[in-house]
Amino acid sequence: MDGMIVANENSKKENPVLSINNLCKSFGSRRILDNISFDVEKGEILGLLGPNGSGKTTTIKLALGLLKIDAGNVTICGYDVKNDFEKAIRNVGAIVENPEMYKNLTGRQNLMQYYRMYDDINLETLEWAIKSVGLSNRIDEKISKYSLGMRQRLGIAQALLHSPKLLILDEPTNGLDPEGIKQFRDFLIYLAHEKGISVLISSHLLAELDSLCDRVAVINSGRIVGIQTMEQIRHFGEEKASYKLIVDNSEITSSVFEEKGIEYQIIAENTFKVSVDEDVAETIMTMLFERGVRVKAFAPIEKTLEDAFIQMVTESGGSKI
Amino acid sequence: MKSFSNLVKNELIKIFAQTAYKVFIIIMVVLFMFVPLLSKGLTALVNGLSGFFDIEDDIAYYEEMVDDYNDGLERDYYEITLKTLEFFQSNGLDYESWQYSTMYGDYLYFCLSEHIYKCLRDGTVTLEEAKESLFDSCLDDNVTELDYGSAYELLSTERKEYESLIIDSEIADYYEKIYNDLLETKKAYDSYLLDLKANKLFNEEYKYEIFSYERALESYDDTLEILKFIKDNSIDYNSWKYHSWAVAQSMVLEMLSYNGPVSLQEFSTNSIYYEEYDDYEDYIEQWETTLNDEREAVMVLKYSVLNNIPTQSVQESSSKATYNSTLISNIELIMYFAVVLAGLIVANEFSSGSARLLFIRPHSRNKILLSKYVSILIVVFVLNILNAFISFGFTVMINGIGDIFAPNLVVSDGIVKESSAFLVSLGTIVLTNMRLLLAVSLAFMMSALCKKGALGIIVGILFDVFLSLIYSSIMLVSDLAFLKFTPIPYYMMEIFVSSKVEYVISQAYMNNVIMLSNTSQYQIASQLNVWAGLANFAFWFVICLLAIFVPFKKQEIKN
Repeated sequence: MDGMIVANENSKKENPVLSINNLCKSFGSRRILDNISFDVEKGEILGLLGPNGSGKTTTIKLALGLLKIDAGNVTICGYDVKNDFEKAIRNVGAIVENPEMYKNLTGRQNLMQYYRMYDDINLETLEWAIKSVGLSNRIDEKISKYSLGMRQRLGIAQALLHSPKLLILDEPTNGLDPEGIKQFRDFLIYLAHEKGISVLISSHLLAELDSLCDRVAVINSGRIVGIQTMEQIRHFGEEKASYKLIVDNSEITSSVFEEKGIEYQIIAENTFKVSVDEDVAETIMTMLFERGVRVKAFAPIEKTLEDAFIQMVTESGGSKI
Repeated sequence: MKSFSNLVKNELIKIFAQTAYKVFIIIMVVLFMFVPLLSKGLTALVNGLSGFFDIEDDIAYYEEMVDDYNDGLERDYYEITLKTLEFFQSNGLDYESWQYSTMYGDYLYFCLSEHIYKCLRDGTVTLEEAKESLFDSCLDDNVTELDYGSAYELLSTERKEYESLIIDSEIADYYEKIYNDLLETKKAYDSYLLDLKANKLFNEEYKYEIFSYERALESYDDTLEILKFIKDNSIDYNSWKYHSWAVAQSMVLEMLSYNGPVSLQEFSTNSIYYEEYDDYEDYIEQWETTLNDEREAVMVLKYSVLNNIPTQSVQESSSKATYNSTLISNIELIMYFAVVLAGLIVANEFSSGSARLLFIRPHSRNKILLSKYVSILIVVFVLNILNAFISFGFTVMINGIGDIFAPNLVVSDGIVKESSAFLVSLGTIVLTNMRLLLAVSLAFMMSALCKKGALGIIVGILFDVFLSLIYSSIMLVSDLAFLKFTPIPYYMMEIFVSSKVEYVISQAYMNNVIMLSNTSQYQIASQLNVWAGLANFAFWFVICLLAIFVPFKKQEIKN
């Protein structure tokens, strides 16, 4: 996987629900995806994160058979999307971009449209899906009267009504209010971790994935530049721990760092950021004390997903969000 | 199968949930009703126009003409015409009366002739002056200056006899008179035929003339039988039965005038013949065909009158003809609706973005596409059923049941047979729907491949308009020549239900009545083969379907 940073090969398990291998796609002479590969395991939530135009939606459309695969393959529950489309797609519920449905029909009539396209499901599942997305009271209204958030909820319901093993959600929280986003996030975690449904979710909202995904695949310019667990992402690029140090004398402190050959950053008045091993940190603290410097604060700095994402993208040579 | 029927059900629900389509269907049903009303309105308008020229208007016109001329033959001509009209009016005989229809022309001729010969006898007018006047047509070249007096006396007597016939006779007398006259004439023709046959032994040239007279005299017997039936049953003048006889009689007169085809020498030297026919044999063959067709038409007319089954062409307003033409007109309306439906049914999925959710289901794209196509066919089928019933209801409301259930009459193996009117209507519906299917397939194709609803609709409608224009222009061409090997003449497949006998009858009837008939349609159909037409449609239909389904399977859904 060219250009991909794999943090933990051992995290791969047998028989992934979704497996994307060396996927390539071009529109005319423009290369959109270049050797994309990743898996989504059973019960796992994998975030697909990347700047606009990085290839997230194209990846999802290829996985759903909406676009033609130029090279590589996509398998869902062991079925190849290209050659065994109907069996593969039977296991997927999806929202691609905005879930546009038929405005002249009610919410229920819309869901019945999709319900009738499956042979082996029952109405109880449909009712469960309606209830789960909180649309029970408005389900018999025409969707032309729905707000954007309600349509999004209905979109999620249509993705769930046939009990899929994999949910593929492209920017699913568009239009949801903060409470709705939280409910949705909790619901997805419930589906993945309690029901064992695998989820591939793309989003440009870093914070959303930060608190939702088990792993995040970072995509930039049509390439996967890293697939990390959330824990790994937070410490991505750190060989040593980072600390924030607040003192009352910055001159003596700087001289101590220079004396010990430690790189530092002054991030505010009398405030430093240093990356050192734990034993070196202890030595520095002793030296500062001996030279009469009062240490007001000394605490490790935790990396955010955004920091890691920007670092990954920057290191891969791509643009930033 | 169940899953496919569910897909079709989905599409039908989507179609009927759209307010625009519901409105469209309501408008169409109203139009279904409107077409027969419009047809009836036009008929009423035509009748109204003909009613406009009633006897009072003509009298007023001739009064003005008389006033415009102080003296001279012109004044005499208009004055006599005026007096003739006043004579009919004073006896309560308007344009609708059988006396006026049958005797006005002859009576006027007697009056005009009587007057001009009186003037010639009296020397008030010279022959030259008479010939240069409006009386010219009343002059007989055989009458010389010495005969002017006797000609006047004779015409005066005949005029008076005719006058009493007009005033005193009943329609039964009229029927009796013409029957006896025709019987006498028939005897003369029979005798002439015997002479011809006798001559045939010595002269081969008479064979065509004999053939012509045999056909004509067989038909003459039939027309006499029709007339006898009308006479014995006191059938109303101007009824369809009377018209049936009149048409048959006019055909017999035409057949008698044929005598025989032109000679080979004349055929070879006259461009009228050699440009129209392949060769002399072709000319003879078509001459014989025409005679036989007319013979068959008279047989049908006789069967029609004796069995009380009217043919469409002799009626002022045939319910069956109205029903079938209404069916065809309304199928045009259905076509426009179906083309709009076909244009939008796929394109709308893409323009609204719903395609992204539709095509990620466990069904192949072509299966989903096929369900859309089938749903259009179902809508078309339902609308056709609706059309059949609504057209029937309104035709009956406007024209009455009339001949709507009357069987169609055809001649097979020299015998008149009845064929089901229902089958003819069904054939009309099925064959008219052929071009609808092609227009719909084209619109559907453009919708599926280009994802532009408007483009599909425009292509579908232009296809119909363009081909109907081409078709209308080829109606002007009697010989299709190479066109019959192209798909163009097969555009209106319903021409294949047009009847040969009705065509021949309408040709004869058109001399007196302005009518919109399937004349040209039969002429075209007679040069074509229905199976070739069906094969032509099947070919383009398959090409269309291939062009839809093969590329669509590979298309990307980017929107």
